[in-house]
Amino acid sequence: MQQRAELIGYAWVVVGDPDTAEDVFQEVSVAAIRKADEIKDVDHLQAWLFKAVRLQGLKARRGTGPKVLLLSDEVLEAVEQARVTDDSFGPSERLDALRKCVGKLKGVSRNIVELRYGQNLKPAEIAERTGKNIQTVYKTITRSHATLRDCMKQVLNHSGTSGRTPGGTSGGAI
Amino acid sequence: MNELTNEQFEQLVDLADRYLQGEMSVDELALLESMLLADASFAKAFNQVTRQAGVMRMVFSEQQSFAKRIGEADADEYLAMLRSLQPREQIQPVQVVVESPSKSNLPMWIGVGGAVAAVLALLVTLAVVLPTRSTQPSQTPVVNTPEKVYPSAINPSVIASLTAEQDAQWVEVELTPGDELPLNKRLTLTQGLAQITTGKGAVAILKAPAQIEVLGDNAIRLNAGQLVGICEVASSKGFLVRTPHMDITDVGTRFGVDTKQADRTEVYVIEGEVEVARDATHDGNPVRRLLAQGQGVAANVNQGSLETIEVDPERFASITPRKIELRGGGRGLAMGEIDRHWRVVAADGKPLDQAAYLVAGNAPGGHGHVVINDPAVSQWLRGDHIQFNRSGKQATFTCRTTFDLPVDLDADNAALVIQFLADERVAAIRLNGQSFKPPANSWDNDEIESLFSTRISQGLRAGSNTLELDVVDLVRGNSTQWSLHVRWHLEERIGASP
Repeated sequence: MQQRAELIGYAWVVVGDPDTAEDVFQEVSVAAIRKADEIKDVDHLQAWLFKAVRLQGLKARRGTGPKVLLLSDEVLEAVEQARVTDDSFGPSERLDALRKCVGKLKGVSRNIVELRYGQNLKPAEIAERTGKNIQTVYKTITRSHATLRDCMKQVLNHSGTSGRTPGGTSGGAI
Repeated sequence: MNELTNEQFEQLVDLADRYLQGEMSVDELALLESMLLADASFAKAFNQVTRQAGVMRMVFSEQQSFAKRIGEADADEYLAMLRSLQPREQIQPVQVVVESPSKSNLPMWIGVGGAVAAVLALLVTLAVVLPTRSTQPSQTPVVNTPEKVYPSAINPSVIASLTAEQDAQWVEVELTPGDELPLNKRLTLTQGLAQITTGKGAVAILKAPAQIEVLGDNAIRLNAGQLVGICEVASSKGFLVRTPHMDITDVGTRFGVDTKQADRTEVYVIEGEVEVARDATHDGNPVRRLLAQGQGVAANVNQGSLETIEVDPERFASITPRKIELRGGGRGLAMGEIDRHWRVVAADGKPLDQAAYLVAGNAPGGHGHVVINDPAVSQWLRGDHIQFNRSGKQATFTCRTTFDLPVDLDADNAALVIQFLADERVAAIRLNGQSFKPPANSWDNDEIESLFSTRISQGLRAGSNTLELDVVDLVRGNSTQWSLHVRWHLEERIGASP
């Protein structure tokens, strides 16, 4: 569950499409099973998976042709580097906490992000379906991400699993 | 690394969201790229936002709701998901070449085996929740296997239970040894080994990744994975393992089944005999075959018949409990020869004055279908030569033997399997002075073809052990003949140290 979310999230960044991202993840999963004997430990596995997702994702998007604008290879490498070295990655508690926080989203916020990420609707469609202003939709999505970030901090600080990340920062600091 | 302000974070969220949804303009992409390259804090925040988006997609997507899938997915869809993991030729290999990261940064506290297990466990777990995409299930055949009704369904509470495990992890359920297993519920083992004992005493050892369903007190369905079946208790004869491609019925005593490939089931007889069958429920022509020890067959989805295959005997070794053969009564003796390993020490509870040993003999009766002698394993032992003044129509003789178990025995993880048949019956079993109630047994008109069995997992000792069986004899007419057939072996449970 945890690694899947992480890897599909990253594959999504690479290929720019959630469905293709899941295909990439599946293919990398099969490749990982074949490579199981060569994986030395969990760190090795994580690094391998990220790199495999990026390479497979690049291959996938080359094969189908870019349908949307995508980050360049150089930027992807920077993003991947930040992801591998990120304290947020690794401890499963991080993603458990994130899942819990998503579960805490309520009301309009939950409805809008569900339409956005669960059903892939565009903000204009969400606005039409919910009767909200399109700017409200955008703001709600942004605010929901900020809420999740803050909730994550709170949950992890409370459980003492914040890793090396100093907790207690306020404002917009990650 | 600088911390982002609220404004910067919100701007980044907006861009990341547009990027993920493919709604970004060229200028916006350029802005996002410049931010990500400018400061690692932006890249880190971008990762956080995309991670959050990934989790939200999982949580909110109905198709990816694991609970929903558990409750509503049909068996074939589920099977397809599980099997999507298995490397198969029809899946194009992924041409991913990745160099190993620097070893200097790798903590070595996790062994290679652990890492491999971690990879498999992780990926199996993940794959189980993968949504069924239009491109995936087409590689897995749809198999319809109508349910049969098994008598034990009347009482689901005693159908089967988990009796041992080694690092076992299950999807959505937590099972510990002793837990009863539900009927007709898919149970997916993602890691480790699990030993299941059916109500009739058949033992199935599963190796992850695997998925099973308990169909009755002597039947299970193996949807995917590897299994070793053991039927050493008489009541378990006829133990059925149903796979998508064939039915395997144990005639006794050990066999391995492998359905790791989506379109194929392979069966190998480790010991004893197994009957395999395909019929219309397996999408093939009706065919039935009896396999002997060392033989193997495979059934393919696209092939109606059963294909004889060569199977490496070691293939199932890792999930087969170690079996230590012990001495069978009368083994290696000629007819009439004394078995000095079996002595009658008491009659009707009174110690006999002199040493009285059982002697090897023919099967009692002689006109029915009874357990026959196998000098290499065990033979009938007779005791009617022993002098004893009976006070009535019934007498009980206490037969004793001693045997050694390995000095390094892990007694907590071992069981003694005792197989026996007596004319008239065995009334009590004692191991090292500890009493165990034998299963209901009796001599039945010379028609008993197999031994009764019991499994004792308490009271075992490394080194010398004493086993006693109380044989009840009934006087029929003037006959005071009585006989005992007994053999026993040690079986180490999965998870025991080698």
